[in-house]
Amino acid sequence: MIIVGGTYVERCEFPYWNQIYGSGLRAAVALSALSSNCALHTYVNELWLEDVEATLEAFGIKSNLLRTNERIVFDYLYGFDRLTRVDPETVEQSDAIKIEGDAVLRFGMLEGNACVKGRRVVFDPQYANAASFWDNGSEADSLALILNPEELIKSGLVNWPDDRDPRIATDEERNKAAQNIFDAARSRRVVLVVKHGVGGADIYTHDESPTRIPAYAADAFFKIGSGDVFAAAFAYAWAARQMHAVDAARYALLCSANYVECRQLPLSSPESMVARPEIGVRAISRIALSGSASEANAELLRHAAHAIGSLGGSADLQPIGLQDGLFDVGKADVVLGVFDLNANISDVEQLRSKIGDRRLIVFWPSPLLTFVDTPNTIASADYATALYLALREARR
Amino acid sequence: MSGFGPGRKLPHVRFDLPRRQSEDPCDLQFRTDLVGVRPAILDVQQGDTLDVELVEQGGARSVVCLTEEKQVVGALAAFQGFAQLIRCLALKNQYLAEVEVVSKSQCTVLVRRGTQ
Repeated sequence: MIIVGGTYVERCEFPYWNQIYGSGLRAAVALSALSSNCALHTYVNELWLEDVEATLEAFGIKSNLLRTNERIVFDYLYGFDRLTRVDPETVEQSDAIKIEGDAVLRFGMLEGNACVKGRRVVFDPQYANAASFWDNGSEADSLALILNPEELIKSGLVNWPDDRDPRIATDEERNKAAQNIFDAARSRRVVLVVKHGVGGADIYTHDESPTRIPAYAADAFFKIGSGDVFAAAFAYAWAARQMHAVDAARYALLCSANYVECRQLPLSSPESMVARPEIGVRAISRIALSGSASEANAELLRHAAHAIGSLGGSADLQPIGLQDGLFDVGKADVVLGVFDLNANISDVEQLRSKIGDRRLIVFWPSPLLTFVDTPNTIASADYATALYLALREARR
Repeated sequence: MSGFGPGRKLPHVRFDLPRRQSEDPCDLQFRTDLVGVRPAILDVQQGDTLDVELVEQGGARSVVCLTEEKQVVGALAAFQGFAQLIRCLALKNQYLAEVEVVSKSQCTVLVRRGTQ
């Protein structure tokens, strides 16, 4: 398995994370236990070169490391919120990496480009346009494109109006976008793998109806690198093992669930995967938001509403405070309660008592969290996990 | 973790590189996640101290964290200062990894110089 992708530093404050990965190195480590011929081609800044070499040696990964002057660091406040915005236009471009092989995973990179030729190639464009795969002379007997719903619409429906959110496209529009990508690929064999925000994927092929695969439930959500793990697992199963795209995507989704829950690397083989409960595929229902009445918490609630919206859900931000007459849960099936350190158990219990039998997800970064014991409630001290759980429960 | 959101100035996040406690280049201290966590983690609890050991196999070097019973919990890798840690271990410096966060296959440790 040949992997070509970036190697970057990633740092997160909640939860703490300070590692060298990036898509390329993470995918290589992920597949190191599965493929004895795992090879990584990547750009590396001199400052991290020997740390990357030592890591590759520890996992038995062959490599071709090209030095770059760029020192790219991605900072996150928490997993859903990347603080670093790197404009690809400002990054010094290195010479293209050229590789050939039977099974290749190519990630889009910031500081260069990879021209790949392979029998089965998986392309995760990341920062590039999905349709750009062939632009630099890359070729594949069979190509799998890994996209998110937004990229599917923008790549397949070029006249999509700017003022319309591509995430609310209908199934018909998505099918049309996929068909247009197939038409543009002409006689080339292409599979489209469209990932959803909190898990699940749609598989589009030339000759079969689209298949929707539900997400697998996880108890925690560490988002940084979860897309890389999905791409690595899918590439291993589909390109190296030549599994059917739908089976490969199921395996990749299970690997992703293991990763977001436990940060599991390297990956286990498809044969040794343990099943997880599936999350329904229905649209995400409304989520009501409430919690502590402080100004800082109000800011966090607004932030949560924004994050839920960006992941395909919709949220009703309730008036702050839980006073009688002010709190109305409306049509929401799920309530996300965001509490600050000044809150106490009775605040959580009060919210619980006001929402009937609806599911309650509590975010509360307090040691008292372990004492939350109200029915139909899940509590987490991790903000990204609480957001994920609210979205997951709103899909059941 | 409060007081941030759209349109609001984000707090400054400070991340230290593995830092030296003195002029000695092997006086390292850093926090990291173990990679490839093994089932031995079932016996590991927050606050436990693990041995840090350099393993050489087939010409390749890796660094693992072990319980008192010499069971491998997971490996150290993929962080700034990893190569320096290997050099220092090769020079017979000793390090301990204190378990800060542990779940069924995640283990965050604070590594510092010392012996059990």
